[in-house]
Amino acid sequence: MLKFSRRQVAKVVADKLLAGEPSKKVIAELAAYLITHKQLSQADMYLADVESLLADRGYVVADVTSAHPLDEDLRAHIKRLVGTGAKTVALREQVDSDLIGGVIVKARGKQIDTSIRTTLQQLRTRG
Amino acid sequence: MTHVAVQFAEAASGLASLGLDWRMFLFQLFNFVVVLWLLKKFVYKRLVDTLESRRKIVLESLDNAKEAAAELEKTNEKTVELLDQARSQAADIVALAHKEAAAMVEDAEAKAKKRADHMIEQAESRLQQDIQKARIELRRETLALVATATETVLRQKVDTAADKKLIASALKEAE
Repeated sequence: MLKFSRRQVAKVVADKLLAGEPSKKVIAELAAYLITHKQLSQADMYLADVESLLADRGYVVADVTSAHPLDEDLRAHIKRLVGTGAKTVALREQVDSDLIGGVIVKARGKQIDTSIRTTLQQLRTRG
Repeated sequence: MTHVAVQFAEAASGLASLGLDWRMFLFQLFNFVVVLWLLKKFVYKRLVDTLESRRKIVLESLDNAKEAAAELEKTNEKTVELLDQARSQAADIVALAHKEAAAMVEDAEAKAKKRADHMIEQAESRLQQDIQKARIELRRETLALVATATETVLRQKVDTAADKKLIASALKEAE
């Protein structure tokens, strides 16, 4: 069975998604490939590569973690912040009350952490 | 001869008038000469030789005594000189010993002072390090307490509205 590099597989997946193929179908194919080639443990890395390729082509996915659910104003604000030069920005939101307040945004290999938890942690370790 | 005998007889008669017997006189004179010759022959020479020998011995002894006295004098002078030199050297040695002892004491004092200073310096350094460590520890503990207290307060105070304001403000700063 033919085996491709992770980058090649990610490129094929990204191309198919951008071509408008249904995302569920593309992800199912990727999952089949990973199972066949016993690469399931590296699924996160494949997805990260796909996201990176999509971001290069103007389709940015941002992971946003906050202590409280975001409203539309904040979503728009975050999209403006991470979507400079991007065609579309998708947010993958997660609520974590341990953050107390603030937000953590990860996109394009960068991270913005304004959470109170991190600030307090920095205060604790600054001594 | 007769004339001489006459004269002798006249003289004898003259000496006899003085109470002297010329025969006896001649006899005694002869004895005297014999005794003198014997003494000269057997006694005087040995006696003179002995005396001469003793005189020489005495003179030698005197010379030796003089030499010995002179030698003694020289020896005494030399002894005095050596004693003076010894005293002088002893004084020098004592002075040098005093000087060296003073230098040793000074050196020991300097070393002791240096060591004491070093020990004090080390103790001060350790003290400063301990103080600094204690300060850091105190600061860390204080910050931890402040952070814990702040966290407790903020968990109660930060609601959705306050969080929204906080996030908006932070995003503005991040732009």
